[in-house]
Amino acid sequence: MLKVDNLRKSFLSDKSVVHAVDGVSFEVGAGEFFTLLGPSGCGKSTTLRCIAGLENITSGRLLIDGELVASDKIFIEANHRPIAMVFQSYAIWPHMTVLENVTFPLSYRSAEASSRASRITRRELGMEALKMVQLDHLADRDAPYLSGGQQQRVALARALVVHPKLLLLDEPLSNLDAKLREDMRYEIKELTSRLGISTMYVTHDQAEALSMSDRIAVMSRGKILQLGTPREIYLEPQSSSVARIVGNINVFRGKKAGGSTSPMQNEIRLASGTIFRCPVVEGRSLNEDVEIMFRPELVRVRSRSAGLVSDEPDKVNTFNAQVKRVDFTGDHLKVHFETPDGEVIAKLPPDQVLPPNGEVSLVVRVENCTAH
Amino acid sequence: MAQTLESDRAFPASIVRWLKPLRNNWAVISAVLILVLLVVVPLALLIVTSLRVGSPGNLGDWTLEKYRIAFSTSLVFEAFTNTIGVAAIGTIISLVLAGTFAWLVERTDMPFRNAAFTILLLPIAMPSILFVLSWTVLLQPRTGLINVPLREILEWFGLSMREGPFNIYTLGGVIFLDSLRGVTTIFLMLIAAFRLFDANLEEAAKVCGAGTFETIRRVTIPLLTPAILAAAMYSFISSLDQFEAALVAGLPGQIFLLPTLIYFTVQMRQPVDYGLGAVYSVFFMLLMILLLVGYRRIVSKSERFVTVSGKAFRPTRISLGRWRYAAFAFVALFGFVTIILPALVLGWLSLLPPNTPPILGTNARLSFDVYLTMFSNPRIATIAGNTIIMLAATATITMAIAFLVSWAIVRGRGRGRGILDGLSFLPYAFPGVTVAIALIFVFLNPPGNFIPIYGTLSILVVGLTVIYIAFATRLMNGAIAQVGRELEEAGRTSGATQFAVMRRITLPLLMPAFLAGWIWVGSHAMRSFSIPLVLSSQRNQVIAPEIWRVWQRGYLSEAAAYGVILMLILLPITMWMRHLMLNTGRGMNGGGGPRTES
Repeated sequence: MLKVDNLRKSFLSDKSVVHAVDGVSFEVGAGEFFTLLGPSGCGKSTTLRCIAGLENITSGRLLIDGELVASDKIFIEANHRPIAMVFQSYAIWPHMTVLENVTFPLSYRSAEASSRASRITRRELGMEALKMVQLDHLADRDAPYLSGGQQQRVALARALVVHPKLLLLDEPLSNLDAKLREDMRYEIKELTSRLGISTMYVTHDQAEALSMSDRIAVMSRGKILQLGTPREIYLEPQSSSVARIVGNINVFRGKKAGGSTSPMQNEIRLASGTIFRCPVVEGRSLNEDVEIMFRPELVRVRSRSAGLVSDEPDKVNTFNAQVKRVDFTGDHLKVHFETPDGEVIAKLPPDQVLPPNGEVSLVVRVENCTAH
Repeated sequence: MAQTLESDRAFPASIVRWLKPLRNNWAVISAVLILVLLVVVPLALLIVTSLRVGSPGNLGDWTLEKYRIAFSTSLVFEAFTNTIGVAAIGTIISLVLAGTFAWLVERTDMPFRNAAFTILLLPIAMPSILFVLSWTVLLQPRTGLINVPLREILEWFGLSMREGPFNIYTLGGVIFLDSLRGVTTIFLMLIAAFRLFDANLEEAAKVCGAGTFETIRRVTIPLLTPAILAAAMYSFISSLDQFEAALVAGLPGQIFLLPTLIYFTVQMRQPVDYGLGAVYSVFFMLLMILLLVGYRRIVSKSERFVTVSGKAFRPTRISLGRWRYAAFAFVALFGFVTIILPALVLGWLSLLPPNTPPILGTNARLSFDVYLTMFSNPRIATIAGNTIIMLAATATITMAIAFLVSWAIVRGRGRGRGILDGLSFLPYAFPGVTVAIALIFVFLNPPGNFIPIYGTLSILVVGLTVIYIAFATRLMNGAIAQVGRELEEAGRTSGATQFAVMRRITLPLLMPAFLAGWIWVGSHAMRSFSIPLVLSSQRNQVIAPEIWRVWQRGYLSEAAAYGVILMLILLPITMWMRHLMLNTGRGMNGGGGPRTES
């Protein structure tokens, strides 16, 4: 449906060139929900704006539904691309009613050119789109008299009214409050999959990206760091940067030590001398630097008195730690531990009991570690 | 279709590269074209004419002779010195007055502050020409309504004089008139600066232990200095171009200022000399442009300085104690001198029978006869019609162009924008008289002369559009910048063309600003003086210069009656603008501020 081929976009700012998008390639299949995830300024919004036709590209190629829409020679303007877009600010026109907002694209999109003749058909199509977002009862209200969530739905209805081939969503939920955001996540996902529309979603919120997407491209500094399913991105990040973008992560640094205990495992000697087991790091020779990562929610606590000896020594890493700080957030305890190899953060159940002296053992399963 | 292929190998690559940002951008291109026609062409013709022997229509050979003549007499230097002197002294006086007023209204507990604000705005309802004419009646050396009783008082003290003690037909008179006229503009600019001022900055100083006086000295004044400087510079530039006082009070006493010297050279002296007028104009414009560059420097610095806070927090007001009412009395006195007294004089004049000299103690019977005869005079209908057409056309065309230009500046891309910004600001530096004679050159010389608008209302509209485009563009720049870019982009991604987006989204959203600008331009066009004075003939008379012509012919009561009617129309517009300004805080006077001078 969408093919982005080595896309580059540079800006001139203060006489220096900024490469906002620096050689990005990916494809979005028909009906796929594809997300660009990254911190602000990583180039994800610029990529989306290039696809929409709101920015001209510097080099590369963009194809939508097999048609070349942008290259260094060709630039099809936004109004001639088979897309619809929802903006971060919703961009609901305040001088129109809800229905006028929603039917606006019907005057222009060629697929609906026939309905241009009939105001009644347009109204029906508009109402149909409003029904999809459960706002048909507000059709004749002036747009400014809507709440943020309602404006968001109107923007969505306006995008869906023309049955676009490609739906572009630019951080559509970032201005909503947390509760509403979760509801809308589900609603957007449900709508797009029901209508079978290919969707390009841009966000900085990992929870949104992970819960909604078929595939995610993690971006940083204009480049795609990793592209994969939410599980792959979260559980098997290829670098600590990716791991940090999609969540919190603990990192230990060490050197590859000899003597694998099993063909699937490596032993890594940490700075303190502790041996840490983790899945095989390919292409590393002895004594080479290795980074081990594990998620805070996959750390378990065991009281020190239970000893360091584990019942399944091959499958877990166990190490001593000292509680440094405890943050109670309601649904979990976020505990900062001090270990000889640096700080470890653990996300523990809220009823977790910690010893008064703060001395504990931490346990991380080998399969929950990734190493690079 | 919006597909563009960059395969024009016929052009050198460098040209193609330069043009690249402009392609697909008809808004920028057409905006540049319009501004070039309105701003650059008149300027160019002015320079061309200054270098030719002949007059418009018959330019003749190239020569530097006119420059030699212009600078071989002391006249131009005298006019230069007078102009600078009047503007400098006038600006200092208006700055002190306006600064005091702004401080009193915004930062003290002076009573009746809303009334004071209204008083300070009201001079907008009084066109300069009326203000100046009525003060010549008051301070005419022999019969002046103030001079006569003053001489009687002085007589008691043994001082006997046949004239004076005041004489409006002097440099001092011109300065007096100019300085009072300048107060409102500076006041509005300073009010804007005061309102944008973040009170937390002052409070921070107080929390650090500084007293009220120390805070004002070390925080408030340094922070406001750029704004004050900008206002002063702006007022100075406006003063240089002030025409009515120089014409009515200066010329009878052979006191030339640059605008009146130009006017005198191309319209009054025999024979008229357009080439020489063009030389003076080029010289004058050069001066104005230099000052404008300085002004922009200061403004850009002050914008960096201004600490905009969206907080609706009002700083604590300073208590004036016993002086509260004295302060308001001071503001009221200003209102008396600038509005009430001139309005009373005009009202009284309009009630005098025709051919009665405006002398105190005259026993002529007052009547409304002049108003009654006026409405049976078909000429009035023509002038009124002309004025209305002129103001409506000027306001509509100016705002339409300003919308296009501002849209291109704010939303456009590429190299055209900087040029546009400069071009649209340049007319701030154009004195009215200069624009008027430049247009004479444009429309009497080939190729412009094939558009036969010389002597019609259209040429007035063109001239006024040139003058007001700078302010209108500033206003629209601000307004467009406030319309979220995404609102337009949503239109594009909904399939609408750039033009459709402009028509269905941008323009409707900008209607309030568009209307405000329309009213501003319209009300200024209505009382515009110097441009119609130079460009109007029998066929295209409009109200303000007509008042002056009627007055000059000696029909004082008729002229005064015109003036009273004009003021009655301008009064509600002024009150509406006051309403607008009070409600928006920053009002129409952010950025450069308007030229309230006509």
